[in-house]
Amino acid sequence: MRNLILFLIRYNAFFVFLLLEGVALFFVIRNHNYHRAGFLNSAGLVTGNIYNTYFSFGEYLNLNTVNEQLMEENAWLRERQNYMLIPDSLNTEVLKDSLKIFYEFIPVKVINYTTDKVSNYITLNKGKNHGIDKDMGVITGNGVVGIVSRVSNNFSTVMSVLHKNTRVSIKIKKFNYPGTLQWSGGSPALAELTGIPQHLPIAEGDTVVTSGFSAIFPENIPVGVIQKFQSPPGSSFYEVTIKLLADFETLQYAYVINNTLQDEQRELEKTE
Amino acid sequence: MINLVTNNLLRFLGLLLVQTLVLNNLGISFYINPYIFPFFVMALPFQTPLWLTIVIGFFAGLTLDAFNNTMGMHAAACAFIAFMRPVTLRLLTPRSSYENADQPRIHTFGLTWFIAFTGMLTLLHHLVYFYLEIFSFDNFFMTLSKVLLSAVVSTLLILLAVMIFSPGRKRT
Repeated sequence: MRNLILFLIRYNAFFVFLLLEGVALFFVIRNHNYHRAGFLNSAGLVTGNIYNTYFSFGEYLNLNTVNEQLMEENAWLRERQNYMLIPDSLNTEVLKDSLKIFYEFIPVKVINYTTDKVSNYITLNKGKNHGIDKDMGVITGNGVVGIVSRVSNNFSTVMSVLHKNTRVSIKIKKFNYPGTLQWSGGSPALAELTGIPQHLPIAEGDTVVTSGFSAIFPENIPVGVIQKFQSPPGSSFYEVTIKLLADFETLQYAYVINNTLQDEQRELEKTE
Repeated sequence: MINLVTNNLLRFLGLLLVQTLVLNNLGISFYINPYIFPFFVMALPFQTPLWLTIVIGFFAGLTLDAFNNTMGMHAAACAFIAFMRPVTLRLLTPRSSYENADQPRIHTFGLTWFIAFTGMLTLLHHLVYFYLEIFSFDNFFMTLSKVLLSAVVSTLLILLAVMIFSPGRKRT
């Protein structure tokens, strides 16, 4: 016993090292498995406020780009307004219940983001107090950006599409065929699709949109455009590379999507 | 003593802010992610007991983790280089002996020694950090090239920072 204690004292630094490395690795592995940010994260009181202050300095630098993006988005929305459509008397449309809102859009500012890591996160300036919760989808006017991974009262962190563990359920618009979007490092403008079988006659330039299966994103939110694809030997699936439509390099404004029926869908699917 | 603590605290805050607000937002390339923060651990006074260096390294790393959403990865890497620091010091033979020296300085030990010292520890830090970040050995060489390229840039940035901020060089 005495020898053991002497041994521990003699090599105290080595044991401190082993202990702390063990703790650190425990954190890393736990977060790796749970696919979420740890309890110390950029949505914290100190970290969030520092990023928020810093953001307010840099906010003006990108105003031109942001304005253009908002203009495009406005144009897109105007096109979809009813008064712009030529009324078609033959079209017997099913009336929608305007009292029942499926998706709420919460406008947010992006106060911090990265694009060059393996696991990229985005920090937003709103949190629980503004109705944001875990597992809500985040989009810009251009396309899908990520999924909320953690919220504090006034901030939230988002697992970007550019995160090795993010999976988004998508479909190829032309065929309505579902697949999965993932990203495994490299360029922040490109991502991969999995689960697209080789019998599907896809082409470069085909649009990829969200499938709406996962209850996180509504259907038909743009994701990207097929840039290239190849058929690896011995596999029945394509290797598809798509160009992402959201511009991850100049993120500034985004929308968090609250699916008011998400819990109900989850609950139902869980009991199956 | 108080001066020593303040100096290290200021260095900690300075490196933390530069790292999180400037370097993390550079986005030059997927392959170049410079980290100059570990220099805080390298520059701790030589007299600090090894166990304390490791503890300080761990918590310093954890602070950076909080900003980067990388729970535990920087803590592991910084504790590792804290542990490896005495080994590195023994490997390198400086121009003058380590006696009477309190921390790594260019004008005490020479430029070559300084680059070798920071370069080796930066390389070790990046090896641990980038493999933990990707958490697999698939794409082994992709990660390795990321480690090497980033380590070169980080070492140069540390050198630059030290040259700018090193207090009053001895006049001859």
